[in-house]
Amino acid sequence: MTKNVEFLKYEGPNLPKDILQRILYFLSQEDVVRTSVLSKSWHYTWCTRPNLDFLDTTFKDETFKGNKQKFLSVVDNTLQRYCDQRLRVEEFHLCISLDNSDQKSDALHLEKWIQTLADMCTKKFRLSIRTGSSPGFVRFPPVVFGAESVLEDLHVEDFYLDQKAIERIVPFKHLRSLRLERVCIDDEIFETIISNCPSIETLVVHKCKRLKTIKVSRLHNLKDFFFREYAITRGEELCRIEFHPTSLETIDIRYGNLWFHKGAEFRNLNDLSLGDVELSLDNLSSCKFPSLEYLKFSGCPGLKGITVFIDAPNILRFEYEGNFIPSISFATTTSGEWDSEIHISYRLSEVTSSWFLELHELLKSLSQSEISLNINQYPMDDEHIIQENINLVQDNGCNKLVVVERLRVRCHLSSFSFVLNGALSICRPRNIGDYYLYSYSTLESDMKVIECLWKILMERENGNEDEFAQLLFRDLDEVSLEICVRDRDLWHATTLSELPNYRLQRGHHNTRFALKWRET
Amino acid sequence: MAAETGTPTTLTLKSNDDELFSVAESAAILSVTIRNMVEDGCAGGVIPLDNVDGKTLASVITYMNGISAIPADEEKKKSYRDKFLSDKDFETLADMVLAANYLNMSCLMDAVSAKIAQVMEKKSVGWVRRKFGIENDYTPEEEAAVKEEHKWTFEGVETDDDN
Repeated sequence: MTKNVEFLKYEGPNLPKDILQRILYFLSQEDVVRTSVLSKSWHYTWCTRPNLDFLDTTFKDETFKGNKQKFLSVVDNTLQRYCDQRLRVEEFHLCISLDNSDQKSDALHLEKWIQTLADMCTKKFRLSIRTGSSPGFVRFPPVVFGAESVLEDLHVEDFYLDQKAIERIVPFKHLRSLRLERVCIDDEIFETIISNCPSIETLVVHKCKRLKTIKVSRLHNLKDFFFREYAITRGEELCRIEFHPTSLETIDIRYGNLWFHKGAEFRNLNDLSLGDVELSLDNLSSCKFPSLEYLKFSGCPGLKGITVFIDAPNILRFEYEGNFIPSISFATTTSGEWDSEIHISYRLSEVTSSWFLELHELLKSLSQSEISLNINQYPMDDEHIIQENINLVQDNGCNKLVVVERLRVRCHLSSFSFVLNGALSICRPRNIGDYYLYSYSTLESDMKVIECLWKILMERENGNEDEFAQLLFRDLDEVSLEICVRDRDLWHATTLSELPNYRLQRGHHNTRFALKWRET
Repeated sequence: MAAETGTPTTLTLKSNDDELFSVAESAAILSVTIRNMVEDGCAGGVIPLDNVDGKTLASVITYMNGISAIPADEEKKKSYRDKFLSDKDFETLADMVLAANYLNMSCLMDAVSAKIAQVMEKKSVGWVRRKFGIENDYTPEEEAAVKEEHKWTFEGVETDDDN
């Protein structure tokens, strides 16, 4: 067998050692250790790799227990060898699972390794630690927070972090990223940990139980904050979150109550995404967001019943998703072009007669931006309300129609023309779409919508008895049906009768109606 | 290729097989090696790159133009790099990593190294030896012993006739 290899030798590129080292840097621990079988010089090359990366999941087959012991001894031996040979470990990444049964001995190992890494002055120490049991069942070993360490990145999953876990806590000067997932933790414990980690830049709190308040005033380096909670359990109050805002660049919260202090200035905030915030967002209006480029609200009851003004002169993109129409306006922007995307899903039974009027107000306040409007209507039970809406729009002399780049309506076909009439009574869409044309036939509904729109738009002059519709289309100069292959931004004209041919082709096609309106 | 006239400064690069390429200076100076040559006043004439062949240089220039057209957005740059390297085979990647090293382009160097590492994932010992041109200097007994020592690393790894 060696003969075969010798025959093939010197076929490959002759990569110098520093390049090989760079390649080896990116290999997983098992792949890099396996290179020791290649040749004697390779054996030496991997042995000195400055980054170590141990995942116990690599050892997780056959009988889990036996492999766990093997894993511990591989980590142990490797670290010992680096120590003995006085080699540097610049980066150390450990991903380990601890359970109740063998926690004591595992914790001893962990304690030893943490000490060794501190002695070796390892620059980057990333620890990911989880339990195989259900969340909150296994207590977190005190050793992690109990030893002075070079820990830079800590990721904890499923543990119960109690008083015992932090009884020996020491300051963690190097910790830059803390990620807690499905951890059971009380407010005081969280507070203690945070106050001992002044260098945190990234804080992720996902689905943690018992945590009621996150009050962060001393993390002067905090840049990115991510928070997720389980979907609301009825009657339970959401976690209240308060920040010292200056260093923050990203805030992403879902099912949490972010509290905005009156007049706060988020000097560095670039990205603000708020989902299902229940607390009133009234104070937003007095806050300043000089660097904000991306703003998203999704399903925020905290926007109901209030008028919000956003002072974000550099906004590039605004997104709203919800089942009611918010009242939001923006300060004059200096960023030039920006986009806004509105997704409103509603039930007709919840619609008041001023629904389209409110939507018109929202569109007007966004008219500086390129607007995409998406209206999704849940199953239909009452049509007269749309007519009432349209009447109200007419009665209010709503003659300033807002230009909308893209309008997309999704609803039951029977009410399609009603909703479209409603939308056209407040805005001037340049395009109506995008409706997808799939090459397989499971999704017929979009095709029906296209046919319906074709009928309304293309045959609008042929014997349309509806005076109101005639009024809406009075200024419509030209309509064309266009198609493009998804992901490619090249649209070309087509006709309804040509569409079946496209459906036979591979790939997903996007269709839209391009509308040209006479200036009025 | 004719040098473009007009506003942006264009450099002419010469590969070791005497192919000439013109490229915008702003894109070419992603290479620290080229940047140093420009600063030393070589930009007027042709910049000879003795360690890169034409085929590889063409590819590197495509990368230079592509990546310099993307504004300062690390995520977009990363996805461009991923896409750029996605269809390259091992031999091309090896040529590119050598070129990136010679041209001193650390981002490309890291991206190609990571890509090569990704390609090596779970590959058999024989495959790696063939691709890297590694001479096996172990005796069969020694090799068996090393293999036994690191048995845990062979879980789920491809096998081939050499093993």
